[in-house]
Amino acid sequence: MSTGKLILILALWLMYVVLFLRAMLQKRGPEHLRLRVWTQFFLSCLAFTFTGQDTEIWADAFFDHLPVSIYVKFFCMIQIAHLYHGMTYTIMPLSQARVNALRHLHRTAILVGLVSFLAFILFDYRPDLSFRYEVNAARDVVLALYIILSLLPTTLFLRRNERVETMRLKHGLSILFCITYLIITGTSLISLLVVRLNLMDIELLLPWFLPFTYVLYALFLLLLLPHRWIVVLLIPGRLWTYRRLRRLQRTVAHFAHIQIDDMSTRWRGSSLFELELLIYQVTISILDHIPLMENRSQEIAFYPALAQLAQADLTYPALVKALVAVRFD
Amino acid sequence: MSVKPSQTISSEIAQVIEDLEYDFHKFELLDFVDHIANYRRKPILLVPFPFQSHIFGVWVPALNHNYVFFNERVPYVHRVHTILHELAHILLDHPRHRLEDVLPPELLEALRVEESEGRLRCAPTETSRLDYAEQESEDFVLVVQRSVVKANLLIELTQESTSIAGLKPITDSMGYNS
Repeated sequence: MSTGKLILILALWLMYVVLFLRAMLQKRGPEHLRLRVWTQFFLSCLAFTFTGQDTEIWADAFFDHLPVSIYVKFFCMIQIAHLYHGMTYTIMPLSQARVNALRHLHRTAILVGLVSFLAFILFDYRPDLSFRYEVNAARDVVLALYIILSLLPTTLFLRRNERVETMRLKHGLSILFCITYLIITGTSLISLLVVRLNLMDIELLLPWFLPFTYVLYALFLLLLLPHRWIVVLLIPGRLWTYRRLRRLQRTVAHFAHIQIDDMSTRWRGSSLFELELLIYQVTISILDHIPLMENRSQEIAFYPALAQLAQADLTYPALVKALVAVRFD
Repeated sequence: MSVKPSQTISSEIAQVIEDLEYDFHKFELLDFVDHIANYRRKPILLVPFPFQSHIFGVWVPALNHNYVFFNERVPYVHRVHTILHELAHILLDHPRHRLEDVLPPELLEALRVEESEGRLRCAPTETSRLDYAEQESEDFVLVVQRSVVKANLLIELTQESTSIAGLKPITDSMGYNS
């Protein structure tokens, strides 16, 4: 294993431990869900640890060249998909036929994996290098089925119905993750065919296939991060929202004949949370002053839109979005 | 709403917040209301009411309860802000004003409110901007907002971590909202 890869793996485990302890100390969410969620991330880190042919050879040497690495990844990744499916399939209810199919798929895959691995141990058989392509392809096909039947439909549903921006971003990343994995499944199957039918040197295909793996790793790391750490990607949008609301606030105050303390809601670039706090305060200020415009409602073209929002049963993100969309200028 | 930088928040408000000994890491509106009710040893009842558009909320102290009426027609975030504002009046012992034509007399009678007195939160006027009690209450809400934001729980003021109820326990478990 190269030094760079070792550092990357250690950094990943360090990040996992920090985030895991953080989540456990905060004690948010039901305990059984916390353990389930973080077990998935643990299995993901474990699978990542054994990634790469050189790493597999290095690690298997400790087990007398038994194909431990590819089986660890096999079981970890199938179990991750199964646990995630188990957590989310009730949010967007899947058909019982799909749920049953995936349950059988899981049992079959795990059973076949266990039996084949035990056979290697019992018969002291060491497979050739091409065996990894068969296990990887089988694993990826199982995961692809989970993605197609459960994970992708559920994530698409979540993204369509999610109104919190940072969470929508996460769902978007999850969708990309699923699609990337489906592509990787394709590359696994192609690799298997190339190796088994001896079509060409598999190394020639790696420059085309490996980038998808790196994209997957990057997406995985982004998905591991809490809301706040990726919210920086939303800065331009939030800044625009804030500026637009401030202009609306001034316009409303003008028509309401009220002087506002403009400086108190000015963002000084201190922090993102200050920006969110100011968006919240400006929103409240606008809502407070809308009724004062009623006397001049006939002459204000955008008043009906504002009056409607002041009485709307909207969630906060939807309300902010709607206020930003008001054409007052 | 007039807001001030945190440096100008009075020491009295800061002391009141500190004396509450409330853990803003666990801020939830109803929990905060209960906490204050226990602190003041007088129940606080939140009552939705179909006020006109310019009236957002009213605090009416009665013999055995504090009533906080809030306009049920306004968005959730506006309701929360108003409720916090009225809680500030309670905590800061602000003087009450006579409330004319705000609540039906029969309702007040049913609630055993002898004198129609309290504090009203409505669309701001020049008078309310000069009323120190109204400014203090807004400052109080500002301090609560900052405390909650510091505790990374702006979502509790705005009711959102994820908008999908079934997903919230999962995102909470991941520590996603902090």
